[in-house]
Amino acid sequence: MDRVLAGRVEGADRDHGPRMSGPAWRRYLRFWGADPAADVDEELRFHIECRVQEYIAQGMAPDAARAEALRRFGDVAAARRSCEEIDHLLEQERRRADMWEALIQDLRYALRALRRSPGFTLIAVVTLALGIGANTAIFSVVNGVLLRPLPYASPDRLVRLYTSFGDTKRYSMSQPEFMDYKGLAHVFTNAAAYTGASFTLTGGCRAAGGVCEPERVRGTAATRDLFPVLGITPLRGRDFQDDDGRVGTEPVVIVTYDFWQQRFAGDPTLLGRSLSMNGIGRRVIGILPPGVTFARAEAFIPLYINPDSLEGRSTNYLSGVARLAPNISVDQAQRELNALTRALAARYPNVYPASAGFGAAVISMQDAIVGDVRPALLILLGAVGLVLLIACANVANLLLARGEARQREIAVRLALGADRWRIVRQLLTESTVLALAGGAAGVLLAWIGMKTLLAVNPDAIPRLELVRIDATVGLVTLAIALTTGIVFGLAPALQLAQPELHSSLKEGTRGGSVGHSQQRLGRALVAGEIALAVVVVIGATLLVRSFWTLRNVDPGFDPDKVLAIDLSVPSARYDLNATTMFYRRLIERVGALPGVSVAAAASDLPPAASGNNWDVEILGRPRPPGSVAPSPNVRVVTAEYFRALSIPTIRGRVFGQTDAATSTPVAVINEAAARAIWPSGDPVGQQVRFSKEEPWMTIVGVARDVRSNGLGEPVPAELYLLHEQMPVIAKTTAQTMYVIMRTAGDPLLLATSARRAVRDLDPLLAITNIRTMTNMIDLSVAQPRFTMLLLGVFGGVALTLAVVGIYGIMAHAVKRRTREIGIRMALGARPADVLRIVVGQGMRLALLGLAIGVFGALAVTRFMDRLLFGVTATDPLTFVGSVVVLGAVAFAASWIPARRAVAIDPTTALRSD
Amino acid sequence: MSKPAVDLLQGTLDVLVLKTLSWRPMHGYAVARWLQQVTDDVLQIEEGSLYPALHRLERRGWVESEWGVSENNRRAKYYRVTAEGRRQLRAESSTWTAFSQAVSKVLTATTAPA
Repeated sequence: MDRVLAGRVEGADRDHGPRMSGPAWRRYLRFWGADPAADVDEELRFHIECRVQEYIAQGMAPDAARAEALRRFGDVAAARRSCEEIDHLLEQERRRADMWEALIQDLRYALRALRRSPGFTLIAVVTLALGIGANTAIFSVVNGVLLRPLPYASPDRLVRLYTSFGDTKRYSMSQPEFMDYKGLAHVFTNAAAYTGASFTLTGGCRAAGGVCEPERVRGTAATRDLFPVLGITPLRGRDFQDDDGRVGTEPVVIVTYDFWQQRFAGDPTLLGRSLSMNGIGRRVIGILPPGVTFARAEAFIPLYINPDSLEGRSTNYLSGVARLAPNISVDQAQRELNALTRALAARYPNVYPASAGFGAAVISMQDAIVGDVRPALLILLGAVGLVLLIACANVANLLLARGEARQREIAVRLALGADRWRIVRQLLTESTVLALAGGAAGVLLAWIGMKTLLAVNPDAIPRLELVRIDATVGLVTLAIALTTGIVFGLAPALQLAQPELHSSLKEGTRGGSVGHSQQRLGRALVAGEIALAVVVVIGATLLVRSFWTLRNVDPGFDPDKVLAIDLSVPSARYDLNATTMFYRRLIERVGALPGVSVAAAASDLPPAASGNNWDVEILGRPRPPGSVAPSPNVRVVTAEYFRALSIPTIRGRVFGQTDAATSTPVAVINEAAARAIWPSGDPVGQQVRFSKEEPWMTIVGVARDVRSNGLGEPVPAELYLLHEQMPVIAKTTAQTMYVIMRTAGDPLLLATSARRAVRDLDPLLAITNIRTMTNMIDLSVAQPRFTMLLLGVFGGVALTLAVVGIYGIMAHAVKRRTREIGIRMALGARPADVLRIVVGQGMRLALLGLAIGVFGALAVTRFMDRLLFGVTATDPLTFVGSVVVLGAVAFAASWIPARRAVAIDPTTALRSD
Repeated sequence: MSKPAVDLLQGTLDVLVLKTLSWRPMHGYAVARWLQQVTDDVLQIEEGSLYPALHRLERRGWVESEWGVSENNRRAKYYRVTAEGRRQLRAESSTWTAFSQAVSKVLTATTAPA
């Protein structure tokens, strides 16, 4: 041991440690970063040299010594490689650790700085929460509605099929038309047709055992290929087969997963059980997988199309869905269909006269479902982007203002040699922390907002039920927050870290004056904010006005205080006479309820169209070949209908006590039908019929136009038939009726009594819906209302943020000039002059912003054209109004603080700063 | 005198180096020399694996290095064991001792297996 310590081992030193490294210049080299490869080399060379020296000391020749030393060492190159690799990894790890440490230090510093100014932090976070939250909310809607793929196999290959007539591009198809379209085998690999079918489910139970209320089930009747086209296989049981739905085969039904879970609590015995639907027992043969449905249906029954005995070519009631063949685009499919329809029109000129404009339309499924709402959502997306920018501008200004107080501290640090980028990075960390906090709060706001919105407006837009704040939305919010942090933080950080040492460090100025570039940035932010606010306010106002106009369109009847019950009698238990009797009795009963002044029934209620357009033949006016027969909207009503809805009679009379099942068939038309069919002449007394097999009906009167296609749509020609006189072909229309009651007080109070009245007549009937007519009108404009609400809210947020921001910046700018104002006053300037200068400068800036905003708005609002009703995209009143409001805000923002500054005693002002 | 060169596993080399450095900071050559001397030339360290071992130990934080000057005025890299390295040394030593005792017991057993 002593031998070892005494010095036989090289490298020993008195204090057991290495001496300080060599010459100074070498130290410098290492300061700039050691070269790992060279170091390894040197280390290994040292070892070899020592060994060589040892051998030489033992008496070997130098060359032999070196050879032996190398041999003894082994593979030098391999050792060097190993060591270099390890060193490299070590270096990487060290660098990463350093970065983390720096980041954590920055974070701690940022949190401390933010805690020191709680007011600023609170305002900034709230502002950012509003801006980011709005984006989160809209993005979650866009994500759920537009971006999320439909739950079918290869949904981009699915299309909807329609027959078109002239301007009506999306009309229903008839069976022969569907078979013709389906026959284009090279265009569609498969196609299915379907139509709506609602059922009353009796005996279906949530609770096992016990009496169950009959319930309405939304259903679809579909041809055999529906699920193969969609690419769905049932989770349990089987799909439809070729024979299902054929007359004489067992009635079957396929239900959705939700139906199974919600109505039957996932009872495993449901499959194979028979359910009573509309009085017919249907066996459940299949259950669909979770999350999958089509046309919002809960149950699917087979629709059998008999190729040997197709229904009439003019009986249009089917909707179509098809899967495109590979390598066929929607446009190509459209072209093929156009060729087909031209051929069909040539083959059946009586059915498709040239004036009808017969054609077919194919639209991608995605477009068909959400296409209408896409422009609105995109505009909303743009709007919240602007709101976020306004929020950013606000916070940037706050940072600038706050930064002025830290100017000294930063200048000192810079003077002491701090790295400018390090300081900028620190400031950016602060901004990012603010942005992330704002983002978190924003997500919370968005979540609350969306929940509220969905509760208020569940059916406003398609697929809205899929909207939720999930991981995608969260990630996008995070990205937005981080970007926002950099956007609003970068400019102020760069500004603040300017080494303008002289002015900041001089003793004379306390707190420091503001550099020119900072002022310029502040002014740019004000002008920018005003411009953005103008755009958003104008856009929001246009939409609000347009919705207001739409909502206030005269519907043609009085919906106030009218209750509507939607129900249906199953044809299995009620024939035509029984149906008529049932509704008559029901109307008598509800008419007798206290508070009800009039009771009636109708097959459809405005503002929903009836969807039944039937050709009519006019007595004495044979239809020339090649022309289109008049095809009015047909509505079946009871005698008191017009009185119940307060629809005035323009000519002749409406249905009354004299009209019964056995008397002359009568009809009433509306003004639009009168104008279209008898433009010059009196329609009263004329006779029409639907087909040769049906009786002629006499027109007894003309009623006022009612907006039955929606408040914003033109009024269709309408023909009213009396329920009691139903011709046989309209049998199904007579089964489903809306019973309406006009009351003196709140209509909803009658709901319970109305239900009881129905139950007393037939306990097995289910009521689909009880609503007030005002509610129905609101629902008809649900989508514009949704857009208006959202844009109105965002407009309000933008306005508030802008007002607060503009006021803040301008007030601050004036406050900064307190000293200057004091000097001017001390030198004899009058308050009015000073005000004029200060306010004038502020207003010039505001005018610049307003001008930019107006031009921006003009460019942007034209994209809103489709959403506007009754208001043009360049509506002068809206533009002028918004400009005036924001201009007034800007004026107040400069004037109020200026007035205050002017009122200060000059000596106090001089001492300020 | 030729003694059989015993192949050393990597882990063993680590603990030997740690022990060597636990006396005082040394450069790689000194470690090799000391190990050679203490074991009476029985352990001929494969020098090609000594230096990677030293660098590995540094990466794991058991030793730290510093450039210095040797007594013949050459620049050399000195290694010093850290507190964590000492802890590791203690643990490995006791493991090794237990292991060698167990091996001994087997090799010097007097009772035959049943």
